[in-house]
Amino acid sequence: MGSSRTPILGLIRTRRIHEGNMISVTTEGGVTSADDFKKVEASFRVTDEELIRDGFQAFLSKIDAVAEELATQKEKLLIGKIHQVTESTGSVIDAKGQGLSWSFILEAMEKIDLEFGPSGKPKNLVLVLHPNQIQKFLKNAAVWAKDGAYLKAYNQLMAKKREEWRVREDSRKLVD
Amino acid sequence: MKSGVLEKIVENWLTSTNERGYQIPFSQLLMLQGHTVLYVSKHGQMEQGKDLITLDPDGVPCAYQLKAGNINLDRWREMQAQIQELVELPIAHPSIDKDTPFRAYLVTNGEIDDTVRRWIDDRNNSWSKKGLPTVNIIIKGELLRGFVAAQESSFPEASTSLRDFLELYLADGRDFVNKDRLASFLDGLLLNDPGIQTKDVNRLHRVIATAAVITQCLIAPFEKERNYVGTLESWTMFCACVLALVEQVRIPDKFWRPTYDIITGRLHEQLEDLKTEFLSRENYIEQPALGDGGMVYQARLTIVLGWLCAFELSCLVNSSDWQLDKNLLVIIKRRFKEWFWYWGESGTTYQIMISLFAEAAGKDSVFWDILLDKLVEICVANTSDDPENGFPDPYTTVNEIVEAKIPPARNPLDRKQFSGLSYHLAPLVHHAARLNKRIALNELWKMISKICCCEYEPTHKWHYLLWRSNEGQDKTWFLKKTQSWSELKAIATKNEGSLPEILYENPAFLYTLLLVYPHRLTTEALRLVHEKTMSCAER
Repeated sequence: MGSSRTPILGLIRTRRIHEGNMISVTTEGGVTSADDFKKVEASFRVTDEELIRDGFQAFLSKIDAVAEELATQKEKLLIGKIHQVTESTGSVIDAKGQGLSWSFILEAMEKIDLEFGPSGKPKNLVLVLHPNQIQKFLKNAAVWAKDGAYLKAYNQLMAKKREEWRVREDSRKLVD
Repeated sequence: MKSGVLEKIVENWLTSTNERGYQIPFSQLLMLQGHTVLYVSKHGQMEQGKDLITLDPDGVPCAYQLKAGNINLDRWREMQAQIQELVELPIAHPSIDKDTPFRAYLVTNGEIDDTVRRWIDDRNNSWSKKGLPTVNIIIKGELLRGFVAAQESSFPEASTSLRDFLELYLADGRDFVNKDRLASFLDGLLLNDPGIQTKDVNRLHRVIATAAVITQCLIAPFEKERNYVGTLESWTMFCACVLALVEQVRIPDKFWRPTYDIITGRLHEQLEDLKTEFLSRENYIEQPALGDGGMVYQARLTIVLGWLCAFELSCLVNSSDWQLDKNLLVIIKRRFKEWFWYWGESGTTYQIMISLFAEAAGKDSVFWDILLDKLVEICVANTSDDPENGFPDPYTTVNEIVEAKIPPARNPLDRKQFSGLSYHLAPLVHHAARLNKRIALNELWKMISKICCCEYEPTHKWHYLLWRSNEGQDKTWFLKKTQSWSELKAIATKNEGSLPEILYENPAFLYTLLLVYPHRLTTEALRLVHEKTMSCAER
């Protein structure tokens, strides 16, 4: 369901739920949230003139817009849910209007449990930005990549996160 | 319109079935007339010329001999000895005194020639003079009127029900049961009746009996093709629906158990036939052979052995002197690596029944080998870096999985949706904990603790017995990263009491239910069948 305008949905696996009217999710950290199903809907209209002129194509021409609308609604629901969960777990940090500095990015990453792949690089790390901020962020990121202070702080954080991850992985076992 | 269609279908079914095919509906018809059914013969093997024994509403014993087709003089001569037994041998049943006079009936779904009627009249005179019962006749027309009246009295009003009924009746008897459609029809038949709201148990008694009559019509295509699994699945769904109704309204036993017992008796009869056929064959290829072999062959053998093991286990629970069939254990030990295929979580319960049977029959290590394979398969598939390896959930049928594998795949399966999730991991982990398999679980724990466990928890317990429930929670959670072994064992052995009460009272049904409704396998369901199996195996 992900589209060019809703790339987050493309990153997320979806599954079909066959029964019931509620879902309950308990995270690895033990936080449970329950919700009923949310309806996502969009409508479209084909006039008699359009139908006579274009036939079935009249319907097809509207489908992209409907799909886009449905995807946007789903994405909004998703972001709203993430916001609700992060608020409740105290994982939200406020930039206080100072924009996306590298220290702010690292502070945000500090709050996340990172996973690492065999190459030692973080896995499943996605940064979601408002479309208006992307260009500015990419420009800044290119500058930070040459900034020794940033690189040092970043590498230190990754080393710490890698160690935390290793400890977490080692803790996956049965004990008495 | 509906009435005419139904009558035609019932007539078509009645005239094309054999005596076994209308035995259940006929017994239900008698119940609807106020009879108490005491005996239903198995495998069409009469006891002393009697297929059915009942007490009529006045308490008079009645004995019935069931036949199929028209009876002319030649046929009458062939069956005279059986008719003589029907009339001349007293009813041998613990509830009936041998000296009590009884009524005898010859029943056929065809016609009886006039010459035969005259013969029967003559014989009746002679029997009457000797103080023996005389033979009463019930033929097609009377049966048809009874079945049609029963169907019409309870057939759901919704037009979708008639469409479902027609589709099911016309189904290919060699295929799998369309469970969505059958469930929708049975729900309409049994669970939407106004008698539920008013708790009118007499009405519900009628509804259950007539539903059995109607369901027999729907099962006819599978019986005709000797498709045991289709028949077993259909009757299991019927029984699940009856138990859902009983759990919901708490109907006293006498209003539903006679029908339930006759149906479960028929289930066992089918399974005995299946076992006889299975043990008598060396090769299980079905025609057309072009579509058989490979995974289709493995899937069929896994399903058949799963059913046979569930049958043995439910008999073990129901009967204190039942001996588990060691021939099955020999086959399982010799062939499980070669034959069994774990296509997805809709196959877990077959494997569990086979494992439980092996554990109960011989405590051989094969029971654990089977389980361990399943655990490893779920863990490896669902922690793979490639989400395309996701292991199909229990809602995905073997049919869908096979169809997606045979090129050109018309309906490819989106395996990504299953990656990282499992409905059966938690029940299997808890089962392994009950079996004290700490070392194996510890080896797998890095993977186990990364998989998101799922379970459906219905709001109303009776919804557990439905094919699909519309009120309840789809729950997901993770097993703890660092898990105390003693705590895990305590969770695994605790009676959660989360199943419908009727299943704790009738645990033998759970063995077959789990095969037909694999999505109902939970930690508690597996704990209950395991506990029952082992306590009965040890007695």
